[in-house]
Amino acid sequence: MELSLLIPSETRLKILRHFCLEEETGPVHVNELARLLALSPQPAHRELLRLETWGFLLSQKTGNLRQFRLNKKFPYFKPLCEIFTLEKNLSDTAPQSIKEYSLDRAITRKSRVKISVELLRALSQKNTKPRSYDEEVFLKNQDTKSRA
Amino acid sequence: MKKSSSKTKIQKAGHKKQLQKIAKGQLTQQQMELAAVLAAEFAKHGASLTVVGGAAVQFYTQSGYVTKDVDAVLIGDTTEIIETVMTSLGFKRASTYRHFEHPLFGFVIEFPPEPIAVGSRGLYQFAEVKTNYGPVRILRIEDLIMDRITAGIEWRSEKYLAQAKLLWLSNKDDIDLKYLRNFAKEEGYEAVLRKVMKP
Repeated sequence: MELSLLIPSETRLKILRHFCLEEETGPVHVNELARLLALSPQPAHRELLRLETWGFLLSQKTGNLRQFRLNKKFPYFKPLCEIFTLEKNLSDTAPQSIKEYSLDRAITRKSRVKISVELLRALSQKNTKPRSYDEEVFLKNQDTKSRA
Repeated sequence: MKKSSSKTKIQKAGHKKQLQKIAKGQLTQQQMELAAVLAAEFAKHGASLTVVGGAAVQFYTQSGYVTKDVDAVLIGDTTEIIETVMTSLGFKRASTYRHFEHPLFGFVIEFPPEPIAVGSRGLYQFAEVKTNYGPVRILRIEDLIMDRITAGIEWRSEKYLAQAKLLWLSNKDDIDLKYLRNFAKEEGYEAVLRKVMKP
């Protein structure tokens, strides 16, 4: 399930995902994080600062280095991290194929069932649910007309 | 730069030949083989494709039911790649965002949004159709029957229920009855399923 629609910045998405899923890891420096997530240090640093301003991260300075860590008291911490946990769970349940068909065998199968007149009539009924393609073509035509 | 553009040209020419060959087959064969080509292309970008809806009904009923759309659900981060993959194969967007058509084929490809679910159940196990162009994932027959039953009830449409009946009649020797009955029970459609299964 795509989260990129919700969080369009890939850098931000990666950083949020990292802190949510690795919440037990200690404070991390920007270069270390950039290397870990395959990000450029400059945009990563910018996003870390933004997330700190937002309240999601806390930072502390040790010597020359600023290290960032998760702020578990941040009000959106739980619901936000639940989204990433769900994302992980969904990707862990990767689709599996458990049965196989051969297309050649299926299309050359001669034993097609006889369709009764009653069933045929029901099968050829008009759709009650509009075909989404027709719906979209209709909207497109309307749009073109209104522009003209 | 030159090298990669000539590589793209060669790839495009290869795809064109492949699609021309597919377009000569019968309709169900065209749909499934084209879906297999798309599945392989999307797999290169980390997305997996599953055939659902009318095209799956057409496959399981040996064209007893025929559709003009091939519905394929993509799993993965597909925001950027749908356009890239489809245009590289010569498809054009036929509508605002999710339909694509190709001059060689008389049907459209539609990408309904994920997840793949029937009723309240998310689906992770599928069947696979082996084609000359590689495998393509498809809804299991049992899930497809339940999908049609659910649609029939939701849209108060005899047509979907008739598709469920045709699916049952065409595949009854090959169906996991226990799974199907449990699914219908969970969704509260046992009576409808019994009606569908009635000779």
